[in-house]
Amino acid sequence: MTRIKIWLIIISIALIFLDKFSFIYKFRDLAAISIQKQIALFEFRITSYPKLVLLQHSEQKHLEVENRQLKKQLEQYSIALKQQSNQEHDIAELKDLNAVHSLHDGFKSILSRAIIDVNYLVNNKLLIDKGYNDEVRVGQSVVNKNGVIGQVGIVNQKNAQVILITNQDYKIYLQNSVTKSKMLAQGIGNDKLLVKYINKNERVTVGDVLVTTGLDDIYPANIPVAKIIKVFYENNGFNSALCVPVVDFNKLQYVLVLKNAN
Amino acid sequence: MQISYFRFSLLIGLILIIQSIVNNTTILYFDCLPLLLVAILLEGIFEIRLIFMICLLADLFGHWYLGTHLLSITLVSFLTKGFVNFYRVSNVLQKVIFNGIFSLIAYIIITLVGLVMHNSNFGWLNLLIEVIIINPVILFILSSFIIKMPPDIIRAE
Repeated sequence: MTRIKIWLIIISIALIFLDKFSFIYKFRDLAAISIQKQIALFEFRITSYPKLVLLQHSEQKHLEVENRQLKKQLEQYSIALKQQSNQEHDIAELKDLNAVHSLHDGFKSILSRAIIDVNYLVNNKLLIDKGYNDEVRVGQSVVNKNGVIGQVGIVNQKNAQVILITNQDYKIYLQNSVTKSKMLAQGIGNDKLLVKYINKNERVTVGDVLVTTGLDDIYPANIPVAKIIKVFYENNGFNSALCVPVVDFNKLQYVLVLKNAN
Repeated sequence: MQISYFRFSLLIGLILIIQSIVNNTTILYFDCLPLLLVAILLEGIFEIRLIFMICLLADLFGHWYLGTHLLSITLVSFLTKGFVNFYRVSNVLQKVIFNGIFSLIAYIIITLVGLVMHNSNFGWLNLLIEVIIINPVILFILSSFIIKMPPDIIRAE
């Protein structure tokens, strides 16, 4: 028995050194960590379960009410945040318009809000919230930072109707921003303009921007109006060009009504 | 000497579970298997395989280096050899005291090994609770449910 015990002592010392100076301790540490995690989780569950089970009905109700209130509050804050970002967008647009206003020498500008309504969708006309009381008059041009929108058609006391450049009753005298050749554009509805009777020798290409001439005292010069999207030959010996407005009428919010200072 | 191995395994399992929970959730740090090992040594049981396995389990669950408990129990067994017969005829209180003393010696050896190998986990409070409170409980369970031996049989090694 004594011999066996001596062997056991030797084996135990060998095991101690093997454990200390070999890779075995890594596995032991891993096992110890995972056991500790499981026990901690178990302990958490044990301690929190009675709280859930024994939670008073009134406390639950109170929590439900509080939850609903917080959700409502969250919705309100989201709306307020959205409004704030919209306001920031409006301010940015107004700043741009302010910059545009300063470019038009000889013209006074009246800032107005655009109202997209059925009339716009059907008749290519835009309602604005400034009218006779605000010195808006028939025939005044309406622009924004991107370009020409149209011309004031009907004026009421507090609002006015703007005929868009794509309206079939609308015509405007334009020039090619590149070649400076003059041409007459007419609205044809469907968000398009048509320029007819272009001399065949004129260098007109797709992508050319047509701008105002400034010769009519209605529009300041060199304001973008439309962009050519198609050039085609008509049997009358002239070319024609199909154009789209540079202004996106669907995104109008604020516009400038230009009043000739003279 | 007979022990119910099934119940003995259950007891070891129970001790390990309780020990793991206490060690990982409280500030206490128990190592209760040496109490059990010393108790079976004093009962005269020295089954090598049984002791080897319990020592390995004690090392693993107690975060000691493998072989630490085996070394301490083997060394203590040299001391307990001469007290086996007296232990068997002792009353409960004497058994508790004997077990406590030899367990303390086992703990000291384990701590010394831990100090040498820089893996020590010693606390006076832990030691006091183990020897004074846990020790009688383990002895009671051993004698009541696990060890099946008539008290008048005395065996000499």
